[in-house]
Amino acid sequence: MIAPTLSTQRMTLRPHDLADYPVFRAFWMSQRACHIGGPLTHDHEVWRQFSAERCHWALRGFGLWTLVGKATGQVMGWVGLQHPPHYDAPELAWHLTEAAEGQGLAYEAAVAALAQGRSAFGITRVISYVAAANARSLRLAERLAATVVERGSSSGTDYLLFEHPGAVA
Amino acid sequence: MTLSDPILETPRLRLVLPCADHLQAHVDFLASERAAARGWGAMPHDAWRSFAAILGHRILRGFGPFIAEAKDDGHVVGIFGPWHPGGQPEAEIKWSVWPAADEGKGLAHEAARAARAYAYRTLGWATSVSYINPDNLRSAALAIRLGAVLDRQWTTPRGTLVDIWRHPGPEALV
Repeated sequence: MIAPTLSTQRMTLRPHDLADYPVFRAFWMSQRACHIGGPLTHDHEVWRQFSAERCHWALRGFGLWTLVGKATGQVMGWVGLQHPPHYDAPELAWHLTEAAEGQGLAYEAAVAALAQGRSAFGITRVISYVAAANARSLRLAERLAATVVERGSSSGTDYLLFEHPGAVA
Repeated sequence: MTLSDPILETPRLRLVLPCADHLQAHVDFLASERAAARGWGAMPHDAWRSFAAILGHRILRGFGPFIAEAKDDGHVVGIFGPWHPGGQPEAEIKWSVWPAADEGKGLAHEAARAARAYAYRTLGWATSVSYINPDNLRSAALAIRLGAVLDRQWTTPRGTLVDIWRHPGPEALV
């Protein structure tokens, strides 16, 4: 399975495409990735991340989408659900390019991804790990009405674990 | 303490200077399970001493925390505001909701916002933090709601590791 294409007010959510790889690579090799395990320093790490995100759909039937601005045609970021075996529930994740920040795009995409996850993929419990120093991400979790359920530390990063509110009507 | 000391108002609360009228609410809170869960002393003499510290803060520092009273019936909701006990590296915006029944209504958010604005506007603070026990998820959630981020951790003189959450500065809140 690959990602179904979704449409929000301002964006198209579609599968990762090799044509977007330069944007993906620039993001993961930048400081913007500092709260999510980056910045990555080697191309093979970036490729592995890209492949993992694209193949997650084949493994789990859901995953991250590439966000493309309807007005610009530009890649704005990557949002969706991921469930590595060491998480006890699917995680709603959001990664935005610098140019896409501050416009509510992550919120818009997260709401669409969450709704799709619940209605089409049958996902009930949804979590998000957010670095405790990541102000914008904390604010988005708050805006999504997620609840703090755990405060911890992993690989030197202090994090908060959020749980998203129940099924969207 | 002077008569010109301010009283802050929020939609549901009045933030006033602590006085003897508020002592019993503090005693009741410290005797509660919620206070015990934080490891705070539950005996009446503990409450007496810590309330004296609340009152004396203003004398020692020139500023101090407020007691929040509900506008509808006047009951004490908790303590909020600028707080800088000795031994703590930085002044903070403190919050504590006392009656369990007042939790989950957004009252702490209302009071803490007003208290933070007071620290910026009236006390002229350029930055502010809140010291939060990492186990206190409700408090962390409030810090997040107030736009704060985890700055660093600090070990208190008693050996407790606490999170230091930093609030947006005054320029970010205009």
